[in-house]
Amino acid sequence: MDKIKISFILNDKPVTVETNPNKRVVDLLREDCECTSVKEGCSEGECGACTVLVNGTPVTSCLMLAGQIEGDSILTLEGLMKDGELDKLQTSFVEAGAVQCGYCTPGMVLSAKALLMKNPHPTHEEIRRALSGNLCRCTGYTKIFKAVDMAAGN
Amino acid sequence: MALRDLAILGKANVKKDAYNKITGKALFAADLKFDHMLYGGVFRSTVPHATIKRFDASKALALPGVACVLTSKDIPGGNRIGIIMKDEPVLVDDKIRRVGDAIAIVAAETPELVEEALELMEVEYDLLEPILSYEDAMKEGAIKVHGDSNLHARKHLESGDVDAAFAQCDVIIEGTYTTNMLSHMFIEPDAGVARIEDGILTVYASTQNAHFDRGEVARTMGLPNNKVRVMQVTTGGGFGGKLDISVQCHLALLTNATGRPVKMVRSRKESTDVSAKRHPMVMKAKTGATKDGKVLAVEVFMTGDTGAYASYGPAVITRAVVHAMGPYDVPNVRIDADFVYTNNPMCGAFRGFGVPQVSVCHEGQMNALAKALNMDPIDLRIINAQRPGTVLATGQVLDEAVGFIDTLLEAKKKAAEVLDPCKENQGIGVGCMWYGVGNTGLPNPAGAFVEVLADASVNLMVGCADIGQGSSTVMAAIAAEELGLSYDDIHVVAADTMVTPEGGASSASRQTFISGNATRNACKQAKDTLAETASNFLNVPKEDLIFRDRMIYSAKDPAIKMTYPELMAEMKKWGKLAVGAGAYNPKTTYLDAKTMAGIPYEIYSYGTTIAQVSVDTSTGEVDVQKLISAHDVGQAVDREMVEGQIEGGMVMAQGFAVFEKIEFEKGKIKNPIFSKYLIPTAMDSPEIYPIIVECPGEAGPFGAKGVGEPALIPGIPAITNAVENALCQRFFELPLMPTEVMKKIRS
Repeated sequence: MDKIKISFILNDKPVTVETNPNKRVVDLLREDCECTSVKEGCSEGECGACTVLVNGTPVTSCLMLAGQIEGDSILTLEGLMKDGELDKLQTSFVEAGAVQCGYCTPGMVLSAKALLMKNPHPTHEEIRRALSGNLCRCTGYTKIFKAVDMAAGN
Repeated sequence: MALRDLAILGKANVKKDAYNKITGKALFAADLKFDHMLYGGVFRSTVPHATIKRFDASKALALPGVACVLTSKDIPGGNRIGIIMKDEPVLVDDKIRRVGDAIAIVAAETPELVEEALELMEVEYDLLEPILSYEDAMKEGAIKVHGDSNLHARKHLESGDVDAAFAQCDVIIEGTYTTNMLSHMFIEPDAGVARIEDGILTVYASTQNAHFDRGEVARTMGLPNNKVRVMQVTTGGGFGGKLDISVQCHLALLTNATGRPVKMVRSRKESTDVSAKRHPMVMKAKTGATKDGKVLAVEVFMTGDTGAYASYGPAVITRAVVHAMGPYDVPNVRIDADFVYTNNPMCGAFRGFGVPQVSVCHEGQMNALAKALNMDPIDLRIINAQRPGTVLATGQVLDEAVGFIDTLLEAKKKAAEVLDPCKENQGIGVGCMWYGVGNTGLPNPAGAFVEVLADASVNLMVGCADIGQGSSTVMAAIAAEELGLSYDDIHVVAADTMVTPEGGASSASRQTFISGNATRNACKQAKDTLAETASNFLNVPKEDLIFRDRMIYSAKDPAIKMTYPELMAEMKKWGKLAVGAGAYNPKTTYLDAKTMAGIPYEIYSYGTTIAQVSVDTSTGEVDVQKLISAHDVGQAVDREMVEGQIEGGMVMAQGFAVFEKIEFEKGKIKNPIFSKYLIPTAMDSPEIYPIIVECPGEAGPFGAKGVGEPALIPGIPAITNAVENALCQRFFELPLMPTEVMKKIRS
């Protein structure tokens, strides 16, 4: 298959990558862009470990093809720190004890980030709904909810 | 027990792995990359029981970019692995025993080429009759999965005079309980990378026991243990499912054959298909009590299917038998168990080793007994609760660290505060458990090395694998407490077989207790040299010195003191090193082969959950609303992490009780992926109230016990009993699928 060039914004920086158009975004980010925070857990869009933000919306990157992100703005966990400072959500996840094995963490934090960007003070129900596409087998979600509440200043 | 004056323990520290995980810097096995790296894959059987008539990989080998295809003939060392019994082939030789058995392995330049090569491999089978159930396995003349018997293990535990006791009982409760096969569904599928580093065969693996892996790889390769290095990389959960060998031996074979680094990452389906599952069990129980609620006798006969290979099956059956009467003082006990080999998926360790299954049985019996006697379920349990001095069915006498009644009372108190009066179709249920910490009636030591450096920072090397539960954080806190340093002074290197001593498995809730004691012992040894130097400098007898908050001072006169950096300068002056090597092996005995008498565990954890549920009587769906769970952890090393274990365990309990089940047919798993095997999501998560009860004894490090598995167990029967109470019906099989619940409602 002929390779194509695709250009997009990755963590606030413009990038151009030559790739197979049918390469999955999760592979593109992990293999060609060194964003290994994007995890693969199921390859069917169910677990949410590969969640990235595309123009601010959480998507499971295992179900997206490279050609689909031309011109888009992609945020991964690598792009969440600003000027060496942790994002409020990163701090609150650590403080709340919301990180155990850490495999769901990148996707979970990004889903929470998308929520807070749209809705700075979500209700408990809104938090649950926003995180319902990200599976966690360790924490029981309680401390994750607490972390999002802390970051939102609720 | 008086409150202990501790500087570090009992508070919350930032987990050692938190920063790397929250920034995405933590490298899991699938994230590793080396120059000239190949990718590996496994050609697996699609039938449960067969011999191989013909296997042909010539087309795969002809594919450009395929580096090698290996079969059992290419194994330089032994071809049998297994945690307790060496009964599983690395690559099939004599016959196939399950769907998913590894027939051949391939290494190629890209993952796509691996897939292509696997599709080009050809196999023809001579099919054998598959053994697919306990009944099949035990049938006279049945074909044997291994050796000359399908009976994998048989256990018998008896104390008192059970038949005479039943004759004296006013009430007898009988029930047969069934629990199904479950999958761990850790979010990170199994993965690893192997390469040769300076002549050492090195395997980076997602694992719960690097030292076990080393031994298996070394035997497979015919190498001495010190020519193999297994390094645990950041591990995305385990829950028992990463105790067996997954990719390690296959990687070693491929990297050895090609001389190049090789990576293997399992798909979700492959991971679920071949990693060990929770044993499905059937438990037939009879409980007899007086009209005042004193349980006089318990009899249980249980059967279990361990599948094609033993894995941790022998540990599951032994532990299930020892725990089958629950956390109660029962004077007359008879427990029998049979586990069989079949051609079904392999079952092994899964958070609790059979105790979650038996808790469904003993708590189902207690719920029914409370109803039969019209007694409060908490009061009934208090009457029968194990206490300090209780003599167990194994003959062991419990010491003072028995906090069971405290968990009952604390949970009851919280329930009065936070539970709502039950409306129609709502119910409240109680579930309890006990859990022996560490391996059952077996030696299971762990070691630790420590060095206090010139600037009073510390390197601590422990074999114990941190799989996210936070064991490295626990070890650092214990070291800081013992040495009198701060938590941040301690750097932990974990589970690297070339650097750390043996730690044993991160399983059986054993690491806080066993590696924790090893860590403390290592620190005590280093401290002895430090104390000698400080004693000379301060002119204070060694035994009067206190190490705390980075200071060393006299207990009699705190003004006589020195700082840690001052002490380290003094050590340097006299040419002394602050090093320590510690080990700990719990004080257990082997259990008698016939009666199972002995000391199976040195310490026990206890827990009580109270659940409130609501049942939708039009759909049969169970809504778990509130879970209160009180756990005797001896001494919380880190309160936040203990809460995290309880909350995570409770939600896993919800999955167990209400909707998780591996469906399999003719040995093949039908729902190995997340869209078909549902685990609880954020929408399902109930309100959870974790309660920490501390009943420390002398055995654990500063009194600490284990909590990893106890955190799961009592939630399962509590939810089940709450549903029973909501609908005034008895349930004998988990999970409580809506269809089954509807059947009961309609009846």
